[in-house]
Amino acid sequence: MNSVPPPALRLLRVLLLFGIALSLAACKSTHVRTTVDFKDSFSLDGRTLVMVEPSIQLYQMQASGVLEPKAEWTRLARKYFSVAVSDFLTQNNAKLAPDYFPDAKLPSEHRIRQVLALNYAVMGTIYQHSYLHVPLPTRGTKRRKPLSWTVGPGVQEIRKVTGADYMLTLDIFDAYTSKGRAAMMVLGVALQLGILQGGSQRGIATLVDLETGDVVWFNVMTDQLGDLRDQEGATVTAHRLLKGLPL
Amino acid sequence: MSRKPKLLAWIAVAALLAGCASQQPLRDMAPGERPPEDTDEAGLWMALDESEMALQRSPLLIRDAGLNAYVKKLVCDLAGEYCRDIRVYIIRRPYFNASMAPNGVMQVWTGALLRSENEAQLGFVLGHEIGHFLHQHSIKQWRRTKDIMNALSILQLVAASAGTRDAYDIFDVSQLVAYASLYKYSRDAERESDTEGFERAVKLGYRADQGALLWQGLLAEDNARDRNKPSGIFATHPATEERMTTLREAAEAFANAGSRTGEEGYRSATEPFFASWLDDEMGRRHYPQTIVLLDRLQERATGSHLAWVDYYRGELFRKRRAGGDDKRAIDAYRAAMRISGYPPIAHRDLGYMYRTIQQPALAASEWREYLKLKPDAADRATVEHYLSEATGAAHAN
Repeated sequence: MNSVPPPALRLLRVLLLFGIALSLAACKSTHVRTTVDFKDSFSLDGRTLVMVEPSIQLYQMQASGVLEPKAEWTRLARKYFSVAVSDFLTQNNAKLAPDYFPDAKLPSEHRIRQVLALNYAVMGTIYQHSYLHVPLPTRGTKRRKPLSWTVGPGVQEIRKVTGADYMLTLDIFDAYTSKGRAAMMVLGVALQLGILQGGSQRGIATLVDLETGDVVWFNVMTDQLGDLRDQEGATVTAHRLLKGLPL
Repeated sequence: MSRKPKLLAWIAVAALLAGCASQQPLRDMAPGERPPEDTDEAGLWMALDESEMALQRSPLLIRDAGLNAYVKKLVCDLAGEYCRDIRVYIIRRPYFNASMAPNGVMQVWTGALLRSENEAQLGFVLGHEIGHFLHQHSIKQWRRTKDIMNALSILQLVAASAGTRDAYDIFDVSQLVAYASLYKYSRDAERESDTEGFERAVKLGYRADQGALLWQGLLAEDNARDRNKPSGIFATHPATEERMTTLREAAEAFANAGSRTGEEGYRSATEPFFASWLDDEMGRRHYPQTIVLLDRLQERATGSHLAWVDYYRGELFRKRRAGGDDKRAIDAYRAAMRISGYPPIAHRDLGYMYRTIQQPALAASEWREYLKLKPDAADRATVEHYLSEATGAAHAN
């Protein structure tokens, strides 16, 4: 039943698949949005930023595609990433305050918890409507529009406890291809079964003005090759994620 | 299938199972110890630590100091030197459940607290969860899942490259065997935890038959379940007849071991929440199950608890409105009102029942009684509105 193609054609098909797989592996993109006048009238010169509950998690993709969380990588990545952001800001005459995590005992109805919950909801909403382009009737149909979201002046609570001018919220997911997975990917192509997904990196970030609550900058970054497991890679990732900040 | 693929199938299945046998050794797990950072277990803990932060933010978390201290003390009595490794979170969800994560996060749902009749029964549940923790079931299950998924994906590649019908059949069979072995493993872990929980509760002097009694109550509820709705606890916990028999036999063997049930302490710790947990239970809208639960609660309820049970029975029938439910609702509200300390809202809701069946005069008299008993009711304006509507209608009649 199986029609067997001539060997030359077979080889060509395998090579083609490898080509596509390689080009996919090199895929990377960032997607920056800012408020209309952010670049012109805002300046981070002399200002302080604080990372609030930064979420960075590293995984290893098993042969099956199951993701296994990695503790050591994650701890190091959190450290490297913080250093990278701090260096980046210092070079640009801005400062990074120590990461802020609200006290575990704060009840969910506490003002700070409420403001942060709203901030995450707004971040998710921007992702959905500004990046995934789920249409929102009140925002018109133009695809590239400036940011016009706010968390409201309630964020001044965060300013009070951190002393910072801007809040940087980020959520980074980072998965690495294990040897087993790499073998599966090669086999998948060699047997002409298709291209299997390997590890990848995804980061979402927002910058909120802690005076007005306005979301002044938003970025989504995806990358198949980025690496947070050493300082150098973390610096590259941080630079790509912070792209478009007015520094 | 011809002979050769059949043979291949068996080799595949054997390979799968052999793959799963290659398990790493478990930690000794001294109290207070974290797994070394370069292990898969540490990765699991890290991810769970993050979700613990989300749990701490949850609006479903019950933060009442008294209730938390009560449950935590029972956990500590049961867990002994592992007490400090376990952090208890009481979650406002009306289903019977409790869970244990390997990093020490124990969740106890209010549905389990409502259904436990005393400390001995709750102790059995908590002991069961501690059993999962001490036997490191999560990490074992995680490793097994990883192994099986890896083996399956290799088989899938082989099957796909062979591209023959037999190869796909072999893959399907292997997949079934693999999943079945995962479920069986999970049920074995439940059994092991049952034994651990039972032994720990009995050692503290609790009556040995209480675990079996609790499961008997849960089984009765499950039997009343609408088959179109998902079963809660029984989907993953060993099917009950066998479990009950095991528990009953164990109880008989230890019949004289202890006599504590801790009914008083349990009642006073959960007392302030009884009505709100019943209210959440109503929200599930699994009415046949709730009726079984209300019957069970009524058997041991005293004082105002009895009135609450009758009141919620009234609520259930008023909301369900199956044939004959209107009269059942009225009878239940009336039964509640015969008990001293009954909630005044029984009058309000009986009024709503009468309104639904177009008895405005009767409705009005219940609403007047409600406002008399509770002059500062938050919904006074609403009730007054209905009252004027009803008296207008009564005049028109």
